[in-house]
Amino acid sequence: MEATLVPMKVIKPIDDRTLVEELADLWRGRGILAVLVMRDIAVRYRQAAIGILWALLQPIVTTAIFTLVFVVFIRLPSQNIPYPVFAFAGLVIWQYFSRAVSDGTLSLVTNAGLITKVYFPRIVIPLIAPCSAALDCAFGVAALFVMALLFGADLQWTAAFVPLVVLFVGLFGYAIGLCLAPLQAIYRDIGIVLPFALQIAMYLSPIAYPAAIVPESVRWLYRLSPIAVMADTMRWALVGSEPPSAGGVVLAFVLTGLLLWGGLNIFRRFEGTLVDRI
Amino acid sequence: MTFAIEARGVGKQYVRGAAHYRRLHTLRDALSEWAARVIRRTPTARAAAQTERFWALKDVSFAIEEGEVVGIIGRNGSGKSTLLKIISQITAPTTGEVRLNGRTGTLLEIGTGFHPELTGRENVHLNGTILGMSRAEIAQKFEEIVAFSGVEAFIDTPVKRYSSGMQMRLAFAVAAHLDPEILIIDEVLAVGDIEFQKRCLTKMEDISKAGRTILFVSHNMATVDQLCRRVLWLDRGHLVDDSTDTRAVTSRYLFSDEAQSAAEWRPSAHERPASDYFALNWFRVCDHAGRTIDAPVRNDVDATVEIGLSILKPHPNLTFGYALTNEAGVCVYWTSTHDAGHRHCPRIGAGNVVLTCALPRSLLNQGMFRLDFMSAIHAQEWLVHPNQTRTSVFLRVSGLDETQHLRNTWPGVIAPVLRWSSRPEAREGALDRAEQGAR
Repeated sequence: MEATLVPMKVIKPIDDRTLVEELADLWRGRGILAVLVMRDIAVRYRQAAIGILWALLQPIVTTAIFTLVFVVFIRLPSQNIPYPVFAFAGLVIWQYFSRAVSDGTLSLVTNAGLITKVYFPRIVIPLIAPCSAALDCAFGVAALFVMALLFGADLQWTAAFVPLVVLFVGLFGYAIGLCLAPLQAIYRDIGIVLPFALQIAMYLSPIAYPAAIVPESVRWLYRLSPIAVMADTMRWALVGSEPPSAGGVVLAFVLTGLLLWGGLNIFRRFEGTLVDRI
Repeated sequence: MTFAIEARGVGKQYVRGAAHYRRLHTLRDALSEWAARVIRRTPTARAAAQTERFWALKDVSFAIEEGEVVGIIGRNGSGKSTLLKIISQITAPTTGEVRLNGRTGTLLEIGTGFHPELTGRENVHLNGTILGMSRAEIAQKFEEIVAFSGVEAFIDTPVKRYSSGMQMRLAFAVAAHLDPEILIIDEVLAVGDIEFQKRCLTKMEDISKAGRTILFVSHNMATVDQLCRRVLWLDRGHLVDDSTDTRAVTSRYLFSDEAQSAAEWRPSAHERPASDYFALNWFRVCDHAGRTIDAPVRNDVDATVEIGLSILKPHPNLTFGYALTNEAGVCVYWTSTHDAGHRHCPRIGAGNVVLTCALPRSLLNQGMFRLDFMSAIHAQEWLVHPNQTRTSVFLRVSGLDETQHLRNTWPGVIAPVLRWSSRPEAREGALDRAEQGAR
């Protein structure tokens, strides 16, 4: 009886799969995504005495060090927002992005035990990290609001956009994870290079310093980086600092869209034979 | 008629090396291979690339009706697991397609996704979802699963505090409550104790009685005979037999080992176990006169296993041996030159060496036995693993000794002849007196 309700499933060689099927898979895998995200979160802070507070400690300490270096030592020209709020806003975005990318890239390898033994839509796997890291990010954003109030920055109504900024960064991270995770599964080199690459990317991005101090002639480069644009958008939304250029935002959307599309295609290419090569 | 599972021309091609055999494939390898291919596009390079590919499955077609219980048999490397992995969608086929009509559940392992840090409760939800149950389904069956597992008292304790038996019971409880229309099982029964295996079999019988379709891979012909109403026999990636006469197929399968494999192994062009340390020249079982035993023998004859080797690079820990497996696929024993410790192992110097080892007398039961050659650097690395070699010889034991040789098969994996004695029964008090007397 029930069997007639279940549509017949056809297993084909990978080359015959379409992008639409892949997206349908993503939807079908939402239940399993939810449990895997819960597992990630539960495992991460279990048996840690101060639990989820660790998620806050790291950006706070980093902010303190940045403040010491850039405000006390270097005497960075002051912005229209207090520097710690400025840096913390950037760091919350950056750390979310960085975890989404690095954990997302490793996701297929860390879940090898699962994917070699049971089928579920593989496409949810690189999405676990952006989802579970979003919790840490939410705590970070809450702390950011508290910090902004403490430093007397005047919050704007645009703060309502903050969740959208976070969502966008998560999508961007997922897109990169989709591209890199299958490569990491086959060539472990990616995982070795990635932490270093992310570190360099952070120093090149206007996280700890404003893009305004960069010479005019190369500043356009920052508009090419969705993460730089999002860090600026975050600050603008929060305390009404200089708004990001419209061109930059549009480009960020286009780039992320392209990357998602490309990532889905790369992932689709690899997922069928992943198990044989992991 | 709709089929539960329908496979049409399913094939799976692997690239030898990238998968298992070679060391980790790095980006540098890929880049240099690619560069080499671009620079010199010679036909020989392409031919070499061609030989690297092989078909683990080739043009396999079959249709399974709803409610059938089907066993898949075949030797190691015959493509059974690959077929199962394709049907359960873990890996994609290279050619052909499989149509599945109904909800599919795969059990290639018990407790997939269990996380030691999580509690039993959390793991039930996690594992259940991974196996394909819906949230509502798990919530509805939760009490039942926990009761079945018998770990109620510890359900909110992290699984890492469980004994391995408890973990297994909980994992099995979840798997047993999976209620798919098509169940795919691989050797799950091979692990766990007898009690556990029995429960698995009972559960499988229940599932099949409920009209579910089961696809079951096993090395154990007895289980296949008992459970399955149809057998698919795979050999080197081809479907060589598909029949509902399970007993006939399983016995033909067992017999085929005898037909295909000689009582004496000699190197051939495509197969010769060798390493930096040695090359194998021959491997056989011979009688006291040095003749290869190629006919059934009684289990109390003098028989010797002989391994002829050329030692290229002597090593103090270089070990040779063989694994003995009976026709049900049960490993009877492993033996190697280092079993008695370093001081007692035979000296294996450079040059040609013949290792001999007497087959234990009056130990083996009747039936067909396979001896798989093995070699290792003792306690360090495998050179030839007995489960992964085709360097095997066969021995048929028929008749246990003069008095018993007409019997069919003695129950048990082995049939040792043990010494019995008797004494008059001691009456009460007599024992004490007897003991005192002894002093």
